[in-house]
Amino acid sequence: MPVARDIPREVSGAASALLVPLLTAGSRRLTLVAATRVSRHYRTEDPRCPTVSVLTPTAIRLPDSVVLEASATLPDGDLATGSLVGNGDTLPWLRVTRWWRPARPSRLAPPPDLGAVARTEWRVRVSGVPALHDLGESRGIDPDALVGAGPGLTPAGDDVLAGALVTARATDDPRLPLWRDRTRRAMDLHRTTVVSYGLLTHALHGYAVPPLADFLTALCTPDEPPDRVEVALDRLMAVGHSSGSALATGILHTLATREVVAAA
Amino acid sequence: MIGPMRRVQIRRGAYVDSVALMQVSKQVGALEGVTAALVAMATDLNVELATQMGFQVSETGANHMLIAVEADTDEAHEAALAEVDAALNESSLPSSPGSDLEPAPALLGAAARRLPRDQTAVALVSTPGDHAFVDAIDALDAGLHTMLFSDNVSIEQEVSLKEYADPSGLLVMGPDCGTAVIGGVGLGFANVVRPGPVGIVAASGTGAQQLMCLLDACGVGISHCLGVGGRDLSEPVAGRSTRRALELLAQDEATELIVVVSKPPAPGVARAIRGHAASVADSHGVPVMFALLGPGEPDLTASARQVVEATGATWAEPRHWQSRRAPSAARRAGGSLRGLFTGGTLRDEARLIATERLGPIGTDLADTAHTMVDLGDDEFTRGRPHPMVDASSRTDLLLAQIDEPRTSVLLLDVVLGLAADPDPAASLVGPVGTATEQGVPVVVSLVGSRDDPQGLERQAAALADAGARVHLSNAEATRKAVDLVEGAS
Amino acid sequence: MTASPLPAPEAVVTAGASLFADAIEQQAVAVERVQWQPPAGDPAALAAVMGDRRRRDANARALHAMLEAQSHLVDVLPASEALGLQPGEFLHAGPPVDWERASGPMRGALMGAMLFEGLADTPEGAERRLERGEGVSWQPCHSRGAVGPMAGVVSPSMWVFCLRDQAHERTSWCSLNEGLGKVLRYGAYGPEVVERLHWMTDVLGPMLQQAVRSRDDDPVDVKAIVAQMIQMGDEGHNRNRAGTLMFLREVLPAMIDSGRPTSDVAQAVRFVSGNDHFFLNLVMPTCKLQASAASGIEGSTLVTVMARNGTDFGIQTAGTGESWFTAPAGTPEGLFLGGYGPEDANPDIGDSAITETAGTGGFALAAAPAIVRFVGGEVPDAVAATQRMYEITLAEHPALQIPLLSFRGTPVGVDVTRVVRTGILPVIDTGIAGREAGTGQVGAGLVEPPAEVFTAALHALAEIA
Repeated sequence: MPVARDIPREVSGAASALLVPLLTAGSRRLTLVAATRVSRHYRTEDPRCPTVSVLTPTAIRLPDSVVLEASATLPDGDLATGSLVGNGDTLPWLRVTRWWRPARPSRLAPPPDLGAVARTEWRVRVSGVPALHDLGESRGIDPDALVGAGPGLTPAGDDVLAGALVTARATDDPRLPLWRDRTRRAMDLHRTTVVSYGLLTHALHGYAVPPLADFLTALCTPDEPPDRVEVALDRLMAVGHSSGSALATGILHTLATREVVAAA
Repeated sequence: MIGPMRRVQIRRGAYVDSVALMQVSKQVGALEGVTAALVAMATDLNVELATQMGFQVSETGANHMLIAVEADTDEAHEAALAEVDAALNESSLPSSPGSDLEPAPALLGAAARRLPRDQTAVALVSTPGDHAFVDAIDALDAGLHTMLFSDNVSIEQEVSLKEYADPSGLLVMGPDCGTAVIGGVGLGFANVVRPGPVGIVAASGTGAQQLMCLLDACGVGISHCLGVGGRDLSEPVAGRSTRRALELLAQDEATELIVVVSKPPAPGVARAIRGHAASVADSHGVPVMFALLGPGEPDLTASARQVVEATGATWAEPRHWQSRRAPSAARRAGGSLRGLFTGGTLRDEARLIATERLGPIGTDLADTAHTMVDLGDDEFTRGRPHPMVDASSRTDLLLAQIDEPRTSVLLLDVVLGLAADPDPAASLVGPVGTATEQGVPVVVSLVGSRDDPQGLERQAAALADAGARVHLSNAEATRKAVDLVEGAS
Repeated sequence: MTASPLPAPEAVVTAGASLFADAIEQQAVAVERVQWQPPAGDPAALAAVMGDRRRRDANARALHAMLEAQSHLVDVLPASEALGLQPGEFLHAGPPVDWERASGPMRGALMGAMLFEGLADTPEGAERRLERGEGVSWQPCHSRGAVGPMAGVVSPSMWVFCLRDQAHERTSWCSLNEGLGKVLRYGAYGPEVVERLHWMTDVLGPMLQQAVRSRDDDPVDVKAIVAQMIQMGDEGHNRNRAGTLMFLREVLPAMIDSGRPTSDVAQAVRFVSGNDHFFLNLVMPTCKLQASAASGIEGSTLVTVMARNGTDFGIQTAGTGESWFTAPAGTPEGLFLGGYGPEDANPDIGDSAITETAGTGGFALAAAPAIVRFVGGEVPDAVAATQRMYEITLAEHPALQIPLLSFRGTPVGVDVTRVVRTGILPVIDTGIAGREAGTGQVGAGLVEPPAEVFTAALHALAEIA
């Protein structure tokens, strides 16, 4: 646009609809808590949405994130919510030009039989994840043991739990209320990282990164071509260093133990 | 004293799209010493335009670029050519870092093949109407839902395209589709609206924009807005895209309520579409409402209210801003209402409403009686940007209306959103101020959402400061303008 | 998500106003922009062809046939036996051409063939008979399923390779390559030319026949050699060095075992190994078999023939059968031998553009970096040429892979509509014949077909769409 030359154009981006209440209700401080090559993560003081992530387009789309347009660079230091949306008087640093719905798999039927071969295959692939040895056959999903277990931006225990929570909600698993309660209690003890706390908050309501949603959906959609599940698993496994396999573990464990629990 | 010198250069085989070239023309024309400039493809139409401007052009060709400059000095001519090069360079720069090695794809199908497997994609075609059909076919061949912004596509081609798409279950949005929102992604002229339960099927671009913005203002979000093209519900096209869009929305989990925005369908089509809508509603449990803009039908604001209430949300009257500047001249009496619109449907709605009280409203600016024109029509956009993209292209017409002593009230629309002028108020406050000073009230129908990049508040405030009365409802703006006309006579 | 019929697009492909592409990028959505330009020809014709609902399926079938076609060398024999050519009958390259319009090299080659066949004693005598059409006639190689490089003149006594596509039960033929310099196919007809042709008829042809027939149960898979040569620096049109050596490797034992005098064997081996283009005459019929397999499929816009006779450039398409669409041939640009220059160059000539038709030659230029300088450019030019061809072709050749492009298949299957829409013309790398009859080769370079042949084909396709 001809006029665009004269006005320094703000950066634009696409924000998760989960951020609507946070970003549109008066300016609040966003404290930088973590930074990677493709992302910045901020703490808010809003319990509904404890974290905000600002991502480059190549980053895995977290449910609480603002994705920058391709030409923009990640910000330095702290921000304020006002600088993410502007208020009509000042030029904001970033303008939300799109609101998107984070992935939230719903109303899925758990697969009647995961298949012996497939199960073995997955076991092999998700093995070797640290902190999962605690996830013994007997103990199952124990939020108290999992929250904050393991190193990293999102500890592996949290990832397993997130996978389990999203799966349980999507498949209407009877264990969900119990897992939710225990997760909330364990989270209150501030045992995990800020970023992971934020992601667990959304996982409690069934929101997930797209590769998780895609894999779970593929797994629970019987008519899908078989390679679809494999492709989706590959994409999920590519998330983070070990996050993908931990998320997969949470999903598979939840689906695999559902029958056992139901029968018990 | 040497008069201005006119020079013409033809660059063979150098195609650049017309919107980009209009911007180049504008930049060149703004240079010091340059009195006129036209940089355009050397189509018959543009050559005719250049001839009217006093240039002599020897060659035409849709692939040749015509650079016509009128300037006082050789230096100014040189500067103009340098500016053309600089501006073209800038417009051709890829804004995203792509592969250095691979040349830009020349066809839509080739571009689609470059997308990573598994990536969800749609196509947006805005090539000239003569050629848009084949580009759309390409997109459909690539398995993409296709938005066809281009106009001047024949109705035969429209039918053929929609029949072509049918077996693959793909949606053809258009031709002449100005607005679509798919999963929050705005295509064409679209407003930034929040996700929500309402799915829109729109045979009218600005009609859909008005509806979306009014819903968004009440906190009612949009799942998708699927354009179908203004002729989709005509007899020959028979609602082919409308039916497909209804099916897609009905199967979409996010969509809880569907609204069809259109002119009243052709009688033969109306029953079939209503029947289709009823069956969709039955089989998927998604109700379908109709917002049909025609005589005896509710206006878009009334329809918006019905939709808002159907979702269980609370209707709030659309906001308006009073004029913040007193007129410095007495009101002109007994004159006419002049509506200068950028959106066709907004104009049509205003005409329907005004006709009820003022009688027939003309559609020709030469007419001195009440008149409402769509400046997005071909006759106005020849050789200049669409006024929605560049609000300044409306300035001279506005000033001419103010100069016309029989003009008593001006009614304008200002459409915000993606791809629209980044600051339309900046171009309009001048004419609005002039009108106010001369006793011609200005009413603005401001179509925008709270998240639109232009800043709804800022735009409204600037226009009100200049003297305009600003309404978010086009229907309300029209009624206000009619009040003012009646009050003056 | 797989569940929604309307997932939020992660990418948008745009053609047209950049304004809209920019607005989409601002929303953090990937945009793949098309560098659009107005297509050539009548928009209504293009629309009719693109809107033809047979097109997609027809092109898929045509392409499938093209890629499935096999090519085995099953025989070597005289053209009179292979093609039933009678005395005084000749085949030639490109679309039909009469004597009056025939170019220098075409005339020279026909004259040389007359001398070789003993139908005239002197070049002048040959020229007179040809001019008057006294007991002589000529028709395109393509009309008989054969191909010939440059002038492509085949006379009854000349020996030809016979290649077979078992998948489609088709046969194609091509003459034996005479080498470079003063040779018949470049329009030379001097005594040394005729003498060489006699040696090829008397010695080389029968020896190759014996070798080839001795492998009756295991015929040479020419298509497999073509696939290998593309990975060895050949592109199969202007560079056939690796292909020639691999072919020699296949037939050499049988040549030695033939029981013929060792001096003949040695001379034949020297001739073949000393002629880097020997294998071209096997690549061409292999490509012809591929292209022929795609012909005659109604609704298909695939190009099945590109050929030049030194005067006109002609193409055929799968959907229009054996109709030729012709226009005056361009003159190649490139490097010239010795004292020759552009003024000595004849317009484009030869059936060898069948290689480009089937995804080799100029289309595989990126596979042959060594040739790029010869045709006047640098390695990036070769890569760019191949990459440009992806824009006008229907597929990537599964068998012909280019190492430099991470083993991407060569662009294959020229689509008339894509040529017309993009304005991108096929790139052909070719030898350059001298314009005067009798001169021979003067250089090598790159050439494009005239755009008109594609618009003409499009308009014909539109009439039957």
